[in-house]
Amino acid sequence: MRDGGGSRPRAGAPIAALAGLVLLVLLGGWLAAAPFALGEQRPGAAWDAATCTDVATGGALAAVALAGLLAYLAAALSWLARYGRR
Amino acid sequence: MTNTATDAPGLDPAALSATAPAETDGALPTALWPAPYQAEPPLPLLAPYFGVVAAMLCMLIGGWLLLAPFAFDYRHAAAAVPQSTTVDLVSGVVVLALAALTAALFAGCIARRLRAGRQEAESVELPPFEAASGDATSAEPAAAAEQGTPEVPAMLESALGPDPDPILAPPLEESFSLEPHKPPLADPDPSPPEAEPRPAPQDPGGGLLDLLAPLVAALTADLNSRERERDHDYGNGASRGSAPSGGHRPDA
Repeated sequence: MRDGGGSRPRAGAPIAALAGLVLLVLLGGWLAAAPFALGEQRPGAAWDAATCTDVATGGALAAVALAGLLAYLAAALSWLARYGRR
Repeated sequence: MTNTATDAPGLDPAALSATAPAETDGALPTALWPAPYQAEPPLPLLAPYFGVVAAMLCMLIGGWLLLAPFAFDYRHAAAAVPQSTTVDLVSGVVVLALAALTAALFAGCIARRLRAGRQEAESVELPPFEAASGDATSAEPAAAAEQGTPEVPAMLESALGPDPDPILAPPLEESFSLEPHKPPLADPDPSPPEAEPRPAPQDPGGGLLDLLAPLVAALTADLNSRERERDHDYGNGASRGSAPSGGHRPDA
């Protein structure tokens, strides 16, 4: 991809990588909700080890992926605000 | 031309020119200095680094998902594999694969940006300031030669002559050596160094003698002419019986 004004090559945005992070966020959400969605965990009953593991791991996965996504956007916007006019 | 955060930074072709860009209609030029002397924006590598770190953490979480059913023993010695184990194993594999792919994509983005930055750095030509200075240093002697004006060092050298006793600086290897100073070894056969033949001293008053010689010759001729004139007048006065007017005969 080249800009219109010159022949300088432009590195494209890592859209696929960002999409991967978004999918990881969705996977984390699914993992946290899976015990309840699949009926393994009865409402009101004490959580077993599998439910605790799925909820904790899914929440952590979603949090990490979301944090990476927000950090990427923050860094990109910061660079754009500082050097984007040049 | 606007850059986005995902653009590889580099030199703007319009900013490479030292003059004001044509885009500034009536406004002050934003590039008062040539582009090579402006602070180049750094490569936007921080954002993909964050992505790589997040993807690597997700890979670890996926690996933990693969191990969790066996670590907590979801099965509890049951005959059939519980559904939670299947969900965790499948989710773990998907998360691990997706996180690995995401990390590879972010790493590829970093590699592309680094490569683009290196290519731009290699494609930057000589800055106009250095080019101008190089032209100036090479053009001044040529212009002086065309105008027929000798250079100042050449004039000084021709006027002063060669330095009879130049002061030579010691070589850098000896004066700035970091090693401790070692005294020179004793010469087993010390002999006085041979005295170099010194040039014959030039006559410092030769020029003055040459300058005064015609003056002395002229003065001598003048004195002789006056002597002859005086003798002539004295001879005439003696014949008339009176001393010559305006003078007296010298004793000698």
